[in-house]
Amino acid sequence: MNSLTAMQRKLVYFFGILVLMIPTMLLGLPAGSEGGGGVIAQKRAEYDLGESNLGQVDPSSATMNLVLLGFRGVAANLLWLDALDQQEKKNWSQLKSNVESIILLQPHYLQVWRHQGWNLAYNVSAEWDGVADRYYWVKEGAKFLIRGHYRNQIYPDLPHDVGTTLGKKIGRADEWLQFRRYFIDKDPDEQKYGGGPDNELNRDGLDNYLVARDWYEIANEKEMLRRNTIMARVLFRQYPSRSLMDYPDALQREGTFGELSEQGWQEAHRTWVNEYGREPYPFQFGEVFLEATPEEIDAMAKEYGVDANLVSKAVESLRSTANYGYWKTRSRIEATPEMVKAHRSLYEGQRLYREGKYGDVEVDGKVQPSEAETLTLEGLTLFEGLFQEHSELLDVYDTVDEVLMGIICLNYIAQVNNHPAPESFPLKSLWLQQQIRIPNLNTVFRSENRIRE
Amino acid sequence: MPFNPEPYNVLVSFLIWLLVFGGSAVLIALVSLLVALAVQGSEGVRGVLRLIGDGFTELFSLSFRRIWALATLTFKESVRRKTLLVFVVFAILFMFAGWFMQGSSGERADLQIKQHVTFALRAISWLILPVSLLLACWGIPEDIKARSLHTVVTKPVRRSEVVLGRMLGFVGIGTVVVAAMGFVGYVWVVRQIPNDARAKLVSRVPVYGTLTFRDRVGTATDRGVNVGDMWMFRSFIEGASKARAVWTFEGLDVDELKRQGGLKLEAKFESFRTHKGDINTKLFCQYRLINPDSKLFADVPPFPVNEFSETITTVAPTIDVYNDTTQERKAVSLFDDLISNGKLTVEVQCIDTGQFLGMARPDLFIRMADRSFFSGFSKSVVSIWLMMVLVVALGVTASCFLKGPVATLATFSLIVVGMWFRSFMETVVLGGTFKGGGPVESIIRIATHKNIQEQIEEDAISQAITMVDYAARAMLWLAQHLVPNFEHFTRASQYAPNGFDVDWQAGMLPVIFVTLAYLVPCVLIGYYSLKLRELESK
Repeated sequence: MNSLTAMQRKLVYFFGILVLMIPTMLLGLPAGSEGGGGVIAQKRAEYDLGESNLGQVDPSSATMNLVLLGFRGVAANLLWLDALDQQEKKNWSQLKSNVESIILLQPHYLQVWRHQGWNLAYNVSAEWDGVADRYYWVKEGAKFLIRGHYRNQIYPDLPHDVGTTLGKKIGRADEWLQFRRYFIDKDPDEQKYGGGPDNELNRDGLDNYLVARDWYEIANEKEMLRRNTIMARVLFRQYPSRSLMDYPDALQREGTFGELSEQGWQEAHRTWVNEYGREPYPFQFGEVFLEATPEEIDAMAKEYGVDANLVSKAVESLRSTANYGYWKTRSRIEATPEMVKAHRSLYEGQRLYREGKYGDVEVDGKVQPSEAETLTLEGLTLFEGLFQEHSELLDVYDTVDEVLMGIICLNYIAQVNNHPAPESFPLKSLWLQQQIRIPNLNTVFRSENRIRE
Repeated sequence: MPFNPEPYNVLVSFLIWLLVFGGSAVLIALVSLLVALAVQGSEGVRGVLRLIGDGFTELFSLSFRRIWALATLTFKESVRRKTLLVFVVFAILFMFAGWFMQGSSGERADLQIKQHVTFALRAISWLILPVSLLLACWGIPEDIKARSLHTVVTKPVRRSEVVLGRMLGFVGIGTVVVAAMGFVGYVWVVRQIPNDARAKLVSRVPVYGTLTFRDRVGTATDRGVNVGDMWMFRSFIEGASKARAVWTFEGLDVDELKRQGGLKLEAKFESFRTHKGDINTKLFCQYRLINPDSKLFADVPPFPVNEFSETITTVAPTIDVYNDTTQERKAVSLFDDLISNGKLTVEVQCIDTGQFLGMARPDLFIRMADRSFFSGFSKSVVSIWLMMVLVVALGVTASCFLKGPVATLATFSLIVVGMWFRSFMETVVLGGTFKGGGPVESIIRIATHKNIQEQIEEDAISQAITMVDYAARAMLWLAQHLVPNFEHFTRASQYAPNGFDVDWQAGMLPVIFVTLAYLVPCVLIGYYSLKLRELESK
């Protein structure tokens, strides 16, 4: 090398650069309109690694990652530590801005979105005392997950989490009654949402379970192309239908009965059987579905050239994982007018008790039981008939609890009217059988009806 | 870090400063004398004493004209070195910051203000600190390298004047930069804050009290109940019991309160429920105002607690009080009957049975008349300016005996340690319990296989070891105080973002004192270093 002149050395460098540039250019050619381009572009398209393939592109996030060079991990770690510290010190605004910074650095790391969405909706909201404040943080969690979904549109997990937050968190929290009113009718932030629901989450003022169902549908759509990382596929895909069951159930919990709840259960049953029940799940020998009749099992066995028992076992294993039969029966029974009436009677009986309308009434000189007592007894009698007809209802915890609460209510009505505890009443055998659950339910009843010791 | 301003004890700080400064000076002088005696005998001792004497002579014969001339040159040199380019970065930051900040704080007015003001102040301090650090640390080494200092020292200029001139010049350019950034930052914040949040853009003036507690049976205690929170900042009082949080306020300006038309109590409590209760209703809290001397009291109507946000209760000058014994209603004057010699006690109780309210000292204060936002913001900018002055002083001092890169690294390390590790150092030095004793005792324990639980026999040797360890600890204490406490500056810059005026006693005084406390030793060290330095050694 020493024998070369300065000019020769420069020429060698120049040609060296040129030689190295050729493979670099070949590797890094931009993607063509029909999927061509350099090797890197092709691989990026193959594995869905491009920013635009994953979802919306955020230029500030991409810039931040480039500017940090190789220190993205370090910066993200520091931000995570700081976020944890801020949460511990209840500095919510700082926590939120830290989370925003974290997602700038890790926009395609699903667990960041999932963890922080859940953290905001469940943990941070629980730190607040005011119901409206809690609701605000639940919404923040849901909105965070929605943003995560738009940034990572190919994954099914995030829309599923949005569904869970809007469905279960809003519909099943201690404050579910207030949360649902806020979500469906009137957001607490009247100034921002003009006395209507939060239009970022519920533009049309739908029930939270129906909005959740839409998100579960999106998740299922994405799940057809990419596996979810949350649960077994057969469970994951049942959520739109399950959400449709939660909808009439919530209506009934709120005291809305009749056609709306009946139709809700009918629609839920139809979707469960005709849509979820007909979805194909692959096995080694071929695809099977949950709602397969014995004839269809035989036909599938013939088509796949395997023993019918094998197909039957596969269907059974799916059904057992999804608890398919239970939900099928439950939605069918819940959709019957008798069941709706039984729910309504118990609900109305307890409502009247809560309103203090439990005293015996005198009609034509005769002492008659109060309407609260009459309705509760009517509800229990209807449930007795339903239990005899559908013994599987005895496995439904919620329904059994509802009935036991009805009997507790009956006892309290007797107590306030100075009557001895009723000797015989409908479903007495169930009451005696479930004694272990009574103290707990009694506490709940007392708390709901503000009965002091 | 929670916003928790604590009063600053100037006298104690001054005594500590005297001890550290005097102790270090004596220690350095003694070591120098001993070394000189060992190396050069009595001539050496005379030389050291002459050097000390020269220092005093120089101190009293400084020429402010020469210092000013050197400062002006330093200023011009800094401008030539493109220092003012920092404005470009500043301008870019402020031009686009609004894009990223709008609506990102949940639209609550106080949070929006907090974010905007924090950004403005951080941008100013994070831009000015590196610039002043680099300028200060590279100035003198560059002069030595370029031999321009050789020309200066041949003139009738004293070395102390070179040090002071350099410091003043760098402070001058820093002042221009901070003032301009402060002005732009102020205008930017005022313009960026949405209209609906502007009403909150003020500087609140709080009067904090001292907080004690009473437990559920009414016994006085330092802290309330721990409800299992990992963060021990707040402690809790139980509802519908004798538990109380007791704030004692002193030095209240009754005339100003009268002008205000009553007493404004601002609180930020935390709720904790042990049972669900009525979830539609927030927990309730009640104040009892008590005259600390006559014990006369008046109850203020209960109010719901707004968690994590301010609840303001205005107490009218006259309170209607019902006397249980006489069964009569009586009007009690807030200013004449309840506030006694500027003192007032406020007891806080939680009304709801089985529920708890959490509080810490800064969670309740008396709010005096608000000052303008400019007042708080400008004082925060002044605290940044003082921090810049301190950095310049440290940097110039370091550059008098170190080369540019090393001086930069040394000053930067001082800033980092002083800003983030000062509390840790205090815990280590003043933490109290030293498990296993000091360094000598630890060595002996290791050598004799004695764990930290085992007692060491009390004898003359163990007493000697304790003495040596005590001396080691004293040295650590001294070393800890040699690092400037930059946490005071961080605290001072927290007032404006939290919507407070910077308190003179707890906010401004510490930063002024810390700056002055390091300025004097820095000039002295700089002077002696430059005097003893061989300028030919680049």
